[in-house]
Formats: sequence, structure tokens, C-alpha cells
Amino acid sequence: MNTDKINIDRRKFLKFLGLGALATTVPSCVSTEDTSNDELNGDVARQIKGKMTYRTNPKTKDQISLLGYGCMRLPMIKNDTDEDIINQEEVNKLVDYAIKYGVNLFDTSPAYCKGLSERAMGIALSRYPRESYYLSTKLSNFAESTWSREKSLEMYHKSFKELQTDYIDYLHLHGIGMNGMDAFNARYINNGVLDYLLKERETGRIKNLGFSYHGDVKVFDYLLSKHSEYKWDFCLIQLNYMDWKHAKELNERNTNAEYLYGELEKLGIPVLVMEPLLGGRLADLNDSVVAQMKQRRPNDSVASWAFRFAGSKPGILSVLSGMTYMEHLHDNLVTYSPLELITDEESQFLEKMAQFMLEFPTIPCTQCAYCMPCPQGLDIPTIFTHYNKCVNEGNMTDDTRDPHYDAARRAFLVGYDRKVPKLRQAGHCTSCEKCLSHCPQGIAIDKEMKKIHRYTEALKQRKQTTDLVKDKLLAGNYSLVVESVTGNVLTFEGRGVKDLYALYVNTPEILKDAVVADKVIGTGAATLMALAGIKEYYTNVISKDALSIFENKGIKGKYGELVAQINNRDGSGRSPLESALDGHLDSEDILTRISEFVNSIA
Amino acid sequence: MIRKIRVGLAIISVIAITLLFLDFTGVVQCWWGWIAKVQFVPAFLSLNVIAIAFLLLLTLILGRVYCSVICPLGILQDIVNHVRGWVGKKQKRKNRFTYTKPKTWLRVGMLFVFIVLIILGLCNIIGTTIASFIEPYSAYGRIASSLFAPIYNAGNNVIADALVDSDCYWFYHVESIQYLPITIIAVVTLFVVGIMSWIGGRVYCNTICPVGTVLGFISRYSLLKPVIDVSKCNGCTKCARNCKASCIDAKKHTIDYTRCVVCMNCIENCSTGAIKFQRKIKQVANDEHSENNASRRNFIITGVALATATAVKASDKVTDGGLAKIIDKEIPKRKNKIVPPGAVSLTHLQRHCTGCQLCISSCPNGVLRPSTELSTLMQPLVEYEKGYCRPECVKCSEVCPVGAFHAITVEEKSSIQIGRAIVKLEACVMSSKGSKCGNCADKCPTGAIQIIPLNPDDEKSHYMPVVNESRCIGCGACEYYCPVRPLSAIYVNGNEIHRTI
Repeated sequence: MNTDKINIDRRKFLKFLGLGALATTVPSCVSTEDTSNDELNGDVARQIKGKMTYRTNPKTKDQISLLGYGCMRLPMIKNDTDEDIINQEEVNKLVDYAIKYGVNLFDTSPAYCKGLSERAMGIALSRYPRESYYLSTKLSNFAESTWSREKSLEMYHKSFKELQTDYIDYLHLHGIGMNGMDAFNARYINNGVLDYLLKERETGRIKNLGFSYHGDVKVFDYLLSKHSEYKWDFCLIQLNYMDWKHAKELNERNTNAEYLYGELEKLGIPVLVMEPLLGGRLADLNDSVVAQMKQRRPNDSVASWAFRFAGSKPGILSVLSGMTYMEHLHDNLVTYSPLELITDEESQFLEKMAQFMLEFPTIPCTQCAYCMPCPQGLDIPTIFTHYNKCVNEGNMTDDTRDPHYDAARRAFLVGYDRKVPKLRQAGHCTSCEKCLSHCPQGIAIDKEMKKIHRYTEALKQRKQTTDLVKDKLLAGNYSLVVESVTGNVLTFEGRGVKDLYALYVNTPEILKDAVVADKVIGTGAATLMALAGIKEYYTNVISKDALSIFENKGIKGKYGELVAQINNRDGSGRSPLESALDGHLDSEDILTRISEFVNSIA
Repeated sequence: MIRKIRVGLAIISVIAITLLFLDFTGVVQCWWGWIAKVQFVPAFLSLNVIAIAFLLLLTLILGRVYCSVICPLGILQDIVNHVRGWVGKKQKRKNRFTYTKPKTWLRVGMLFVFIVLIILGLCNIIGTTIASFIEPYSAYGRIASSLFAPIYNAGNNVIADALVDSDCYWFYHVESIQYLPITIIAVVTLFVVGIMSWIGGRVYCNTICPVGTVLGFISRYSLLKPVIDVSKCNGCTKCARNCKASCIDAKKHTIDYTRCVVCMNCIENCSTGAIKFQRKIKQVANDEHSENNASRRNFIITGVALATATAVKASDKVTDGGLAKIIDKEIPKRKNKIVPPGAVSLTHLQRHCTGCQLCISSCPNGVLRPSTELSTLMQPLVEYEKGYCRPECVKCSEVCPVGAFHAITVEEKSSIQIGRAIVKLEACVMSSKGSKCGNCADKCPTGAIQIIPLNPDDEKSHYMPVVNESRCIGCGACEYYCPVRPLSAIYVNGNEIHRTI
């Protein structure tokens, strides 16, 4: 079995996993429900069977529906002038359906849906008595132009008008942690806005005051340390079965939901959950994961697993889900009416799935569209969605010999053009970096865009990414070209090993997992590259010793010519550095000798 | 039977050649690309000896089968004629042709004018362009690419749009771009040829078409031809009344083989079996003439006015979502026009290209479009506002049947300089605004662009792109990806003569 595994490609491997699970899983999913009716009509299987689960707010004793309606992704429609506006008719329908089946918490923000969300929700909800639902909104003073007390309070008061209300049930300080402590102080402390909001809470215009957290955990910890002073009534955090234990692996600057939840639980602060589906990514999973989920609970949607996971924690007040379509709303209502608590065994299963999914290098975008509109007109969230979809489906390969290559290439390129107009694709990113501070996930959007563009180029030219670097080396007649893992390409024209050594000493992170094309690779260069941990190399000429260094380290690459020894440029004899490195030295010695050599010629 | 074979072959060939102009995937080109290369005038212009020999031999053996099974404009006329047979008064539907006298002087005159124009074209005077108006293959190409392709694309787009959310990636949306002057030329051509064939069958082929005249001359000596066996003929004149070429004089039992396109209709219609496709020694040819005139066309050239839109100011955004409007790029004023790699030079293209539009409809990057200038009317031009001349693509040089482009490989292309990039520093966002950008250097496939400080002594200096002219191939990647709109801050100026770097 092990030998089989080695020989099959990734896609086959995934299928293999799925089949393996099919064969080994005990049919533990025998439903306790009477399934005889379900078999007659497929839709019956996902019918709302009971009452919505409610949780109690410990302070106000409000009964809050476990499913909260997130109003960040409301359905849009084109108006006469081809602008996107909110499809109010559809929003009203969704709200009617949600309220009919017991949803009573609606969460919005002055920034959502190009700033149109609050008004639309005001229109939809004002058709119901005010006491029948709970309103949650945020003080979204991200932009520097809104940091002043005046502008911030103007935004706060505008929310009342747009939502057609004279009190707000849940008011969030929005996106605490984005851009660190400084941004927090500027937005809420220095301008006295937080003091003002605390007073508003006393007057009853704010029933519950809390914050939503993204990014820098220092700000989160700081605010919790001030709990005795501020008395937070709730906190909104990102929680799902991926972020529970693996937030860091998904995105280095995020913090595990397990920690955040644990800290909040200690202080007894009720938790609101955002991104239960990780921006929809947990509803669109790899085939083998889907197969295993369906084996356990054939009638349940893939998304329902994520909702059951999030809702099962007792400290959760409500799980907010941004629902655009009636089908999403209906499916979530089914999951929470009532909630069937997730078992320990199921939690373990999800953890196993999470670990498996981490193997796929997706971009941690949740499609919140905070980055939009991009001044260059790029459609950032859609580009990421497409990329992630291809990653999850195993459609990522630049190896033209892969039997799956043509299908994967077509799926990526055709799918890309379908979803994103050419002028809005990754290649048009100018690294203006305007989006970076807006991203609550802290994605290096410009670097990811470069990476996606390189991949697209490789596919279009039917080349491997190594070949593109090689082309650059040859076309530009450079001595060294390095493409870092983030997609940055550095070119050098200096002679010998000097440039490579400088890179290794000063910025080794650029070389880590990079694709490197070098005119000539001898023992010195090979040692440096191996120590830095490059991914792939290309060279016109390689020495036998250098090749064995790469082979020992398992570094792949291509070369033009294999020679016994590297000669001097004028061909008069052996290269002086190579002679100095003769004898079976360990890499430490080689490094010292290279350093001596580079310093001697400097 | 023999007629059915002719019809079958004609249908296959016209479908294949039409698909060459419609198919945007390049698949048809792989299988049927040769059919454009055996077209008579293209084969001559590209000095394709094998194709010319094949066509001459074919005509010497079988007569003008070229006109009835290979020439798409000829088959188009047969289709028009066939449709004509479905409509109108009953007695007019069938047997509606009569013998006419040959218009030899007109034919020879047109051929002479055509040859003179081609020679003038080779001497770098507008000639090829005007000659190509009556050249059957490129005339058909213009009709197919500007009148049929939009319909084909629309059909494809309906399917592609229906599959947008599916995992089927076989269909994708394509943009169909119309170029007004070419569309007008195509409509006029279709109208004139259509009316002529509606009324008189193959009258275009036997009066105006230069290929018809040349092949007509050769086919007089062809080995096999339709021959009337006078002994079997009952004088019903059915053959003459069904001859699209109006070349059978039933009373005299003669056939004018210069005009016969060997459609075999006479053989099929002869109730006594008096006409056979066989060898014949004896032959008669009489020539009379009359006057006729082909119309000249002139065009007022209108520049392409591009709609511009206002951009969303998104620098200090307060709300989320939405897409910024993108201002359409405008075509810069280039000192020299750019023509695709393989075209050798502006004059080489001008002398050889007959404006069939095959390269333009084959270009997958939206780079080629027909020129609207009189001297190069309908010939391909390179512009970069919709895409750039991608490194892996040599489609135009592969498809060209007339040898206006030399066939080049992807490797050769990477060293053919068709133009050179010029930077407008005052417009560049790096040098004028201090932005990081660097898109031109990043996207340059040959590494010809470097980003360097404006002032090397100032640490806070803005940066600027500089072009190493010896590495630039003029592919336009920099111009296309430049974020400055509507006119890019870096643009390509064409080389009059392409050179290898």
C-alpha cells in the first residue's frame, strides 16, 4: 500500500483517500429519524423539523436565535446605470423567511455592501415590531478620514437613522486588532469615542457594547484585561473547525479560536461567531472530505458540519452567517432547528478533516470584500475564490507531463476568464498596497496576486514555473534570477557567488522555497542554495559535486551541462573558489571559506 | 452520382474553410489549415510551388473543379443559387438558365487589371489591397469573419453563459469585435456576388473573377470534361437550362469549357444520358465581348472612438465591496504602425496581404485588427489595448495562406523585434507619483525593462522604468499592463523593418 501511495499523483491520492474511507467507515450514520418519507422526496430530507435553538444573553436575558443573520453579503442587482445596488425585494423575502423560522438577530455595519446594507436592513426590518428582533451593528471607522470624534460619531448616529431605530442591541467596535494598537487608540481612545459609547450604554441607546476582533492578538488581550473597566457585553470572533486549532497555519497573524473562546469563557463574556464557514470555503470542500461527511450524515449538507461545530460550544450566543441566497438560509435554519450537538467523536473527525485540508495551500480569503473596490479595478475576492477552488479540487499543476495537466490547465484558465474579466485579473495589480491595511485576514494581497499571475503565465505558456525563471535568466543574460515564494523576482548581473552569498546572509527568507536560476552552479553555490532551502534550481552548467549536494538534499532542478569541474571565466583553469572548497568539507566549513573568499575579492 | 460527389466535397470544403474563420480554439486550423493554403491566389502570392502544381494538374485533368469544390466564394454562389431554386414562381424555379455568349474581353480585361495591381502592389504602390477586392478567397474570408463569425460567437456565448457555474470548461465566452469598414466591404461583396448569382448563376466567376479566367484558359485543355454525344441528344435543351455557367449552347451541341465549372448538373439532368464526363479531342471556342464595369469603393476612415468612463476614487475608502470602473485604453499615436512578427516589414506585409482576415479572426489575444487606412485597407495591424502579443503564440504566421507572414516558431518570435517600447516619464505613476508599480518591468517577457532611481544620489528618489532597446521585442506586454489610462505611460513604436535581436 505504501508503494502505491508513492507512485500515484495527488489527484489520484485524493480519490484513493475517499475510496479508502468508503471501504473502512462503519456505517455509523444510521439515522434515528424515520427515513421512509425522505426516500420518497429528496427535498424532504432537509426540511425544517423543529424549533430554532435559542441562547440566553446573561445580562439582558434576551433569547437570541443561534443563527444570526449576517448582512455583509446581501443579494445585489444591477440598476439602470449598471451599478450594483441591493436587491431590496429579495432582501425582504429573506428577512421574512428568517423571521418566520425564528431568526431574531440581524448583524450589519455602515461599511457593508458598499455602505448600503444598513439602509436595506432598516427597510426590511421596520416592517416588524421593533421588540421582535435584535439589531447588531458596528462603528466601522477604519478609514483615516473617519478617525476624528466628529466623523466617528456622525457614522454612529447615521446607523440609527438608516436602521430606523432609537436603540441598538449590539454595538461593536469594528475590527479591533487590524493595524495594531495604534489604529485602535486612534479610532476609539484618543478621540474619546469609547467613553462616549459607554455613556450611550448607560442611557440605554446601546443595550450591549462589545467588539469584533481580527488580527493582532495584543489588542484582544489588552481589551480583555480592561474588562473590569469596560464591562464588555459580548465579543465577535472568527470561529470554525479550521480556525479552532489551526488559525496560525491558515494565516500566520491569526489566533486560534480555541484560545480566543477560552479567554472569553473565563471572563463569562458571551461570544458571537463570524466566519463559521470561513467565507464559504467550508461549504466547498475537496471531494474526499465531502464523501466522508456524506457517509456519516448522508442527508446533511457539507456546510451544516461547520454550523454544528460552531453552535455546539455553550458560550456561543449566536453564529452569524452572511446569507445571500434562500437555499443557504434554509439550509442553516434546518441545521439549527434544533441544533444537534456535535459529538466528541465528530469533533475529532472534523479535526482530522481540518488537518487534511491544511495540505492544500489555499489563500485565507473570506470574501469579506473589505479590500474592494481596488483602485486598479481588480476583482480581488473573486480571483482568490477561483484560485482556492482550483487548489481544493486538486487542479493545480504546472507539470506538463502530468496526465491530468490538460484538464487542470483548462479548468484553471477557462474558469478564470469566466469568473474574472481580463482587465480585472491578477496581472493588473500594481502593488499600490491600498488594500493591505483593509484586509482583516492580513493577506499579502499584492504578493498573492503576483503568485497567481505567475502561475497563470506558466499555464498559458505551457511551461513550469522554473522555466519562466530560466527564460528570464537567458533572455536578460543575467547571472542569477531568484523567484521568491511570494512571487517576487530578483535579477542579478554580478559575477561569481557574491550575489547569492549576500542574499543568503542578509535576506535568507527570500531564498527559502524559492526557484533559482543561476548561470553556473558549483559546490559553493549549491551549498548556499541547499542551506537556504530553495525549492528548485535551473542552471546552464553544474558540477558533479554540486549535483550530488542537491540530490542529497532532495532539491529538484534542471541543468544544461554537467561538468567535472567549474573552470575560470577565461577557461585558463579551475575556478579559484571551487579549488578552495575541495576536499570533503562540511557545510559550515564551506560557508566560512565562501565568506573569506567573498571578502578577499571585495 | 458524379454530381453528388461534387456536392459532397463542396459542402465539406466550404464548412471547413468557414470554420477556419469561425473557430477561435485553433483546433480546426490544425486539421484544415491546408485548405486556405491551396487557394489559388494565396498559393501564388506565397509562391507555394506544391500547391500551384497541384492546382494546375487538377485543372488539367478534371477542369475547373477548383471553382466548384475548393473555392469558397464559388460554393457560396452555388448555395445562393440553390436557395433561389426554392423560391419564386414555379416555372421559374427550375430550368431557369440560358446560354449566353462569352464576355471574353471583360474577363481578360479584369485579369489584366488584377495582375497589374498585384505587380504594382509588389512594387510598393497600393495595389494588393485593391486587387484583393475581387480576389475570391479573401472576399469570402471577409464575409465569413465579419458576417458569419458574430453569429457563431453569439451561439457559443449562449452555451458558455449557460455553463458558467458548471464544472464544464469546454465552452468559454468570446468577445466578437466588429470592424465597421470590413463589415461594410463584406456586406457589399456579399450583396454584389449574391445578386449576380441569384440572377445569373456563376456570372461572377465567368466575368470578374481572375482565378476563373486563368483556370478557364487551362481547362480548355483538360483531360476530362463533359462531352455531348450528339447521337444520343434529343434536343430538349435541359442541360443548357440547368447550366449555372450558361456555357452550353444546346443548339450547336457545344460547351464553352473556359466557363464550365464542372458542376455536373448537365450530366445529372440529361434524360437520355447524352452527356458524359470523359475525354474529348475536338473542341470549339468562340469569343465575343461586351462591356461591364465593376464598381469602385471608397471609404471615409473614421477613427475608433473609445468610450471613457470615470474612475472610482478608492484611495480612502469608507465602505466595502464594489468594483472600480476601468477606463478603456486608447490607442496611442504611433510614429510607425506595428505589424505582427513574421511580417518581415511594413512593406512586405503591404505587398503580400490580400486582407482575407484569417489572421485577425485567428488571433487569440485580440491584438490584430484590420487597418482602416487606404494604403493598407483590411490588412492586419497590431494594437495593445485589449491584450498583447503573447510569447507562446505564433498563430498569425501559421495561418497566413498568402505568405504575407513568414512561418516562425515560438523561439524565433522571442528574438524578433517588431517595435520598441518608449516610456513617457511624465505620465508614469512611478516617476511622477512615487508609486511602486513596476508592472512593465515585471510583465516584460524578455527582461528588457529595468526600474532605476530617477536620481541615484537621492535615497528618497522616485523610480522610473528604462527600456533596453536591444532586448525589447515590442510585444506590448508593458503597454497592456501599464495602469495609466486611457493612454499608457509606456507604448510601442513599430519597426518599419523587423529585426532579429
